[in-house]
Amino acid sequence: MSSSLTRKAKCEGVDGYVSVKDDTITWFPDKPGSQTRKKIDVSQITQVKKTPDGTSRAMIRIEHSNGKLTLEFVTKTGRADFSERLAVDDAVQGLRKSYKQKQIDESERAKAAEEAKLAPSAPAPAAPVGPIVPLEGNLSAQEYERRMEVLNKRSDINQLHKKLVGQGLVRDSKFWEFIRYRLEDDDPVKAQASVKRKEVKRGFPTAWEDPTSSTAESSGTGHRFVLTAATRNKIFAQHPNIELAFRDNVPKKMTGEEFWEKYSKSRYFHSSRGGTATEADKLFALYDAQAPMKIAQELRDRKAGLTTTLDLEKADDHRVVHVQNVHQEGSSNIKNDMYLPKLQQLNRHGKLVLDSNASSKPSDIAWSADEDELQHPLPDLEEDRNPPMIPLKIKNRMLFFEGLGAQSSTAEPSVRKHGLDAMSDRISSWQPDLKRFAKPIPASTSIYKEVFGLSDSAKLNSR
Amino acid sequence: MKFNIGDTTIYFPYPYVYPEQYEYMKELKHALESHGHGIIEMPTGTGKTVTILSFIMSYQIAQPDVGKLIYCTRTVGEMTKVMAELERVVAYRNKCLEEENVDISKAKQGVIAVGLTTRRNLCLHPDVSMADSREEADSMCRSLTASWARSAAIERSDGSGVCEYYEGYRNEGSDAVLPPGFYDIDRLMEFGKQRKWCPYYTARHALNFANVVVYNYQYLLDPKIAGLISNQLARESIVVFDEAHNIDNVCIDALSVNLRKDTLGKCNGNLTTLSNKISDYKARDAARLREEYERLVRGISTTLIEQRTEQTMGESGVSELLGAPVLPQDIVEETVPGNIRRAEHFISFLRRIVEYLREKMTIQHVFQENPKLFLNQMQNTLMTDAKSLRFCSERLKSLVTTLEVENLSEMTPLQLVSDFATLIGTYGRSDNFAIIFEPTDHSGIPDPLLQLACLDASLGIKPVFARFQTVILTSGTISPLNLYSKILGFSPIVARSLSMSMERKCICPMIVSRGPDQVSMTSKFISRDDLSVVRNYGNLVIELATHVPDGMVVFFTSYVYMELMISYWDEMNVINRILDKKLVFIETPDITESSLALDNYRRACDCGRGAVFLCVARGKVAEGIDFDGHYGRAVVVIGVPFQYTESRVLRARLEYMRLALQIRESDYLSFDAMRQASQCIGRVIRSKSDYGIMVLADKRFVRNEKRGKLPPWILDCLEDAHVDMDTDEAVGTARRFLKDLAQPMQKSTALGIALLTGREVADLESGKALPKLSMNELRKGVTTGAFVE
Repeated sequence: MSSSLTRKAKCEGVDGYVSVKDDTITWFPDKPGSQTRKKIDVSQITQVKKTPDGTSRAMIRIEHSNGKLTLEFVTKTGRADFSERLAVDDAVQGLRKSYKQKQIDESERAKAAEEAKLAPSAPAPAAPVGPIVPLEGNLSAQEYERRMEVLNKRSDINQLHKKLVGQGLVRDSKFWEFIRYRLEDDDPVKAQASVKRKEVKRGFPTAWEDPTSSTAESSGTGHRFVLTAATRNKIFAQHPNIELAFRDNVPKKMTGEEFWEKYSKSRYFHSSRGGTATEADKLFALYDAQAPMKIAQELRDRKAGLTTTLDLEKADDHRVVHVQNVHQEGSSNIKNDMYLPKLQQLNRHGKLVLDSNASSKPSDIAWSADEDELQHPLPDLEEDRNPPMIPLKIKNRMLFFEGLGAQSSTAEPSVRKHGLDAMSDRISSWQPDLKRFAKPIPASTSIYKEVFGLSDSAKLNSR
Repeated sequence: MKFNIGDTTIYFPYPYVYPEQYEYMKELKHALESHGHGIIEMPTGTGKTVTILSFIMSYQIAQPDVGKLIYCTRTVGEMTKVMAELERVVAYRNKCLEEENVDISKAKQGVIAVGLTTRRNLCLHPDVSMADSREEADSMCRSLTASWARSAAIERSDGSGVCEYYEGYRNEGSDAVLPPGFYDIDRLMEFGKQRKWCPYYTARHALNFANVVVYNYQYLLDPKIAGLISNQLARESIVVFDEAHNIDNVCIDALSVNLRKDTLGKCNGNLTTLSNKISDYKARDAARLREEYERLVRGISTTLIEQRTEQTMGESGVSELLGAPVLPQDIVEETVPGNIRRAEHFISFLRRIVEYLREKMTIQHVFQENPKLFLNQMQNTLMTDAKSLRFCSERLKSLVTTLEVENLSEMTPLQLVSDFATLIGTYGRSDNFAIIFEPTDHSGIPDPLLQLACLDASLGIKPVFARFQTVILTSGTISPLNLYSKILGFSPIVARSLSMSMERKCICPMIVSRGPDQVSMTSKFISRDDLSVVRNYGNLVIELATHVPDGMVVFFTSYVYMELMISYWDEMNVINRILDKKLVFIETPDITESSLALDNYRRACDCGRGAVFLCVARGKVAEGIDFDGHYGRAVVVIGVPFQYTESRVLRARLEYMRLALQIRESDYLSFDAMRQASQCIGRVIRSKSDYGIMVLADKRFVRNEKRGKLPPWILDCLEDAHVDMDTDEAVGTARRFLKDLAQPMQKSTALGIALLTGREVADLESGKALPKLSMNELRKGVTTGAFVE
């Protein structure tokens, strides 16, 4: 493939043009007759030297078997023009590269022909299955062989090649450029590596990627996911759409257990099998599609509720246009921030924890701290006043006991809930039986019977 | 309480006053009476705002010829606080005056206070208020309020294409005087909704007759906006710059322009748009362009046209464009040069400038040029003179108005280039600017950037000092005052740094230089990847999170450093260990995300869980959010928050300051880093009843040249034993401090020392001195609560 390039360049102080075309580099003067035209064949070039970038002169020296050609590039204003020099240098290097490649190809072909002559008795190779369509020229021997091998081995690719290249829909080089991805995907080793590459994000611990992997248990009968509260929190922090689905469906349309079962089926069971979408898939597909919009709306709503003192967006920043994005190490922008997902996830984790705790909702706090600060900025200068108090009462005993229970991380939530339920019921239904205390003190066995309703045998067993 | 300072009665809306507040008022009085400027430092949490407001509101009664108060703040949140405080002050003052039966005019009692902010914050139009940026909102607003847009809407007579609130304001509000009141953002919006008046234009109109104006610094300091908003303010006005510690950077930014390669690319698109519009106008309304030309020939400037249009037709629209970025004294009162009078000639002139700059930006190496050299080269190459360049901004403004360009935000690139040309044309002969070109960013990725950097902060603020008779700069952290006034180029009548009177030591500053393993802690670039340093910083945060109740704030030196540390901490399990104690929230480059993180942080503190907020010095949070009370019981500054010292603009500025002001580079860098650090640690205390721990975690803070630049009120509390601590010592000290300070505070112990009554102020006026406690007594007072005789 030949390309041509012409640029303005000085040679020995004379203005002129340099042209790189058809394996030759030619310099000719601006005004005919002022100096002779200089022509170099690419085969003659021995070395190409350049002045370093950023120096006062942009020069290139092409040394060849008959001497050397020194060219200088300047702009209209007389300054060194490194961009022009770069363009010519690229063209010359490209020419040298293709020349060297040609030489190698020719020597290999000659070698192959010699080998074929030396072994006349060898059986004739089987006629290749394809291709009927000829491959494009200018290919190295190895590349030619590789492509032939693919076409011989893969009938589907061969057919595609015939259809696309044979009918002139796509050029041969383009066909091979794009088929590369299919070949890579079909290669199991490479495919696995590429999947792994996609999963790993910088600044993002891999443990957060798939929170269930650490809690999965495999046995002969199947695969069991243990979704603890911590794992669920991680799933919510990682996937806002799942949190949205959970909030919408539990407990209105299904129980928590049913939800997590559907989640596991959709994300871990069916995902590996392909095929038709199940009911669980449909449920989550809906939220996958709607989540970005809903989350953006939720953010807007929450932002609208912020007080002026907390809303950082309410600023009078007039300078942004004139001096924005100065090159500074400390500056950071959202697009290129590779750690941003991690930071967002930590913020989200905090929000989830707060949202899950009813006592931290702003509406439950009896007074607004911001308003108080605006009204009483310097409390010690005022006369003593009664500070606003939050009434200390347990609104929902379940919430209170769950909060206590959450501190013990060892027990399963369902077990904990059951135990705490039983205990709180006992406490709330307990009535002092004063008559009992009027009786004479009974023996220990009868105490067991009366208080816990246990039989003698049960008592013995428990002992 | 009421008390006298000299012959002026001060109406102070609290039963007590701090001694430093009284001192502050005396200094203010001195500055006002001398008609001079002042710079006063007073600790955070000692009520600067109420001091200033109550004094000036009282002084206005005593001296009726004093002008309005112009109170400049940094953020919208601070503006809201000032308004709330002012309302309280005025209510108390008027109540006292009523009781005294003092005969003052009703106008003085009925104070009109207006807070002005961008139209994006003050917009009621459903579409404009949802704009993503300030520029977009301005542009959308203009397309609804410009005179031609309104004329077109009248012709259509369907009411579409105009803003009903703006129309309401034009019909009723533009001549009306607002009823007395305190119009902050929320009230302006409410008022606008009720009357159907545009809050933004109502606020701008109210600037003319309001007694108190509260707005951002930039409305006075940035010549582009100041010419538009603040040109009607009287010389007798009192100007106060609150939180003025960063004002030098604001001045410099106001007169600097950065150009990127893609900006120049977009300029070509802008020029094509304008060319097409010119051709279009030539075909259908050539008279309009002719009229503009004749106006320019006669030498009538766009500003004059605006004023005439306002007066004769009651129309606006022209004046919504920002002015030229040059200082008032440098605005040229001449006719526009002939070579740029015709629209098409001006377009080709701009095209040549863009091409010239584009060629400059193809250079592959960094260069810094004297603006004189740059201007000479530019003049020679473009075959023009500096005068034509100076008129670029003004001429573009005129053309955009003539062509009725609606989408101004799209024209921003061309506006930048014309501002660049105007600035280089105006200040090209001075030494206060530098031209700096960088072909790549700090990591070597090609991103050509041409900067016209203003090096002299005094240039921007000089017109303010010249225009108003009294300008007061105040903050909690502007030490050393002489250095700051030198940088801003003015001689203050009053320069005073006030300390904090305390009956108990309510802050506990500590410098932690080593970890428990005695490895030094520092944020130096070479130590950033040192795992022992990272681990020690992590340990410090974990330990403090374990022992400090409620909220805790951690500042890092930059976003990059914070992200690096968090990623290391995540790998080292530090984050999980902090999460065991408190929730973690982080400031990110996404402003919405950060606002919500801040809200969640406060929720976590309110509900008792406690949280750690990780943020950056010089960030939005460090500059505008208070962590008072239980929202911040400890603040940790990880590293010395130096500016990015590899920045060429900073280097150029340092060199300029060394040569012109004889300020050493290291002195300025330390001064700047320490004022940032002081700002960060000052966030934790907002009143004397508050208390908090301040940890400066870097071995470099131990050095005297750094430590000595802390404000005196922090240095007074920094004990010798707390200067070079390791993590364990610091945690032990913090535990003891928190245990002591969490005890109920007895107000009686503070009387006469940190709190003054009216009688004690009268004693001070008559020359009696207050008892002063030593640090030992303060410490004793913390534990026993009994040291008053």
